[in-house]
Amino acid sequence: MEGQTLVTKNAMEQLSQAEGNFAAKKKADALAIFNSIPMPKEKDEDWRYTKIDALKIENFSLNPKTKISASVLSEDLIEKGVVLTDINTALDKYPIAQEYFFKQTKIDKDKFVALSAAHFNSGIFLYVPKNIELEAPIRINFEGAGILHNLVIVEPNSKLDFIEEYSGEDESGQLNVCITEVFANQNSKINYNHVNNWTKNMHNFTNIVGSVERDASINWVSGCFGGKFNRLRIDSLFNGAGSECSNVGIFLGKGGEHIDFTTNMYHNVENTTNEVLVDGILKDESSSVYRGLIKIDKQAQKTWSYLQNHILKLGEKTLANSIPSLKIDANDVKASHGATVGQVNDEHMFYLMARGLSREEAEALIVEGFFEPVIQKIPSEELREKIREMVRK
Amino acid sequence: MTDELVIKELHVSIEGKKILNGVNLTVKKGEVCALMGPNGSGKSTLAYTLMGHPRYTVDKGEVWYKGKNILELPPDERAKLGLFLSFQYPQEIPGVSVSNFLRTALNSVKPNKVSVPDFVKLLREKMKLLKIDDSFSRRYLNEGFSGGEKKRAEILQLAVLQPDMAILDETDSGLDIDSLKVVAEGVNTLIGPNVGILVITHYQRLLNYIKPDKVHVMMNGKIVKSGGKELSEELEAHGYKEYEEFEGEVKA
Repeated sequence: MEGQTLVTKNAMEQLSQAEGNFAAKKKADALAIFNSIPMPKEKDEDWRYTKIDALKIENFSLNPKTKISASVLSEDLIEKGVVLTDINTALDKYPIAQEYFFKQTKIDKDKFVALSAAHFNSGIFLYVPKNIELEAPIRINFEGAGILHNLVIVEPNSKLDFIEEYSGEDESGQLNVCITEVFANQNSKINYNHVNNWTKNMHNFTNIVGSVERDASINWVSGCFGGKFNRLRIDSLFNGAGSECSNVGIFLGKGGEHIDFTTNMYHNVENTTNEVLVDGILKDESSSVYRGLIKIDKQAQKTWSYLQNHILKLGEKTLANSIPSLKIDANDVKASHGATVGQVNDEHMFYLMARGLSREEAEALIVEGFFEPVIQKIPSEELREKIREMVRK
Repeated sequence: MTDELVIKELHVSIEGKKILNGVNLTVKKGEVCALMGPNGSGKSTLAYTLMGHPRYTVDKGEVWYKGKNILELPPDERAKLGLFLSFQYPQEIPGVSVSNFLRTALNSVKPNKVSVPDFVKLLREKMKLLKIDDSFSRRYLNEGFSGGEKKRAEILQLAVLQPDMAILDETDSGLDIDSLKVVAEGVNTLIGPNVGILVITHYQRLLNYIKPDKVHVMMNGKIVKSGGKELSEELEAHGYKEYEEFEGEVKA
């Protein structure tokens, strides 16, 4: 991939920089919080069915070097005020970055959010001023473990297609912790595509929070592949009337991988729309937990919110947990959720094998077919093909 | 002759319940055999057993085809030998298009890979023959198909895969007369000196369009009578009643 390499800075170096450094101060505050809150336990609601008790943060490097490569902005876009740079530079240089930094994310609710807040040494900052429709997608590649903070701000009436891909080199015991804050301001539209393809020793904790203002929309697409422990949480905050989200998620577990996937939809105001579809397949001895919350506040009348989750278990030793939940305090809303966990239908296998497909070929076709309806919901053809390819692997 | 399908003394049960009680039947290359019988006589069990459905337990017997006892082979190996079953109740496979599935299947059963353009040409040609709309190939396999569409899709698979030995299990059920004619026409284009066909049917109707060389009657898991085309007409006129009595006598 062609692109610029963003400079990653050493966290300690950052902390030791001159006083008045915005990021250093924030990190010092966050470090105190990080040290004061306990490690989560499997019995905690947000961590059920995930073997977090055995994980020791002290076993990992908290100063990993991520390699980030990114699209190069055209002269025209730079002229118009679009900014794509690394988070450290942005927090030094742009008041708007400081203004939005941790605007919607609470540090003290999650040990790993606090960890990232205290130790992040890299990440990207993307700013799209108002009335700009980016024609080409912005692509970011993250290689290797990182402790990251990403900040994406799209101003009113603008449009952004964003594709981020994470992959890990195969080293023992890596920890990736990431916070991404996304702001879709009034009447803006963001297609946010997240694909991770971790190697087998990666422990990933990624929290993405999107704030959707009046008449704005975020279409989330996420694909989770690989990793020893792969936790992805996407929160959508419907903060403006008429805002919309869709959330299409795909995960595939194999070997001894564990996937921990959460989508939380917070309907805070009236007239908002949401549709979640998360489908996963588990192979070998892999396991998963999916949590999907739809929360509709008292004032969030005329909400339309749907959630569906389907999991296909291939193999007796796989373990799937699905926890969809609805919390509705308003009375004039349409909302529903549904979850299914199933296995490959023996009759389907026989039918395909009777036509000459080997057991492996038949299973591969069933797997592709299982994901196809959800893949069809991905707007980008490029990403559809990429995910099909990853499913086939 | 190794290209014959030879069923010898076949006993089959499902979950301990005996369904086939010693079936002996031969389908020769180039021959159309009809297997008739009332519901529950074991016709579909025979079809599934020949294709290797895991739910059916073979208690005794052999089935020889092309020099192999096929009962020892998994279903895909049987298909690769040239065996084909047109299902009475085809499965709906979500997300898998007819075209994608058929290309995968064709490449599995044929020794040489078929290129995408050649496949598309073949598929179009066969769809035209069976009066199937072009959009059909993009639909998910049998998903949301009407009963008639499912049967046409089965015969489309038959026409594309061109097996050496085809078993048609109640292909006529659920078809109106026009669809029946189209489906029969599709089967007839396949009939030739190199293909054996076993047509399983409850009614004589299909046999007006696919002319059998031999007719076998199955009752209680056994072939109780064999004859020519006239036997099917006789059955149409008198039903299976006399065979039920006959079978009763045998048991007594």
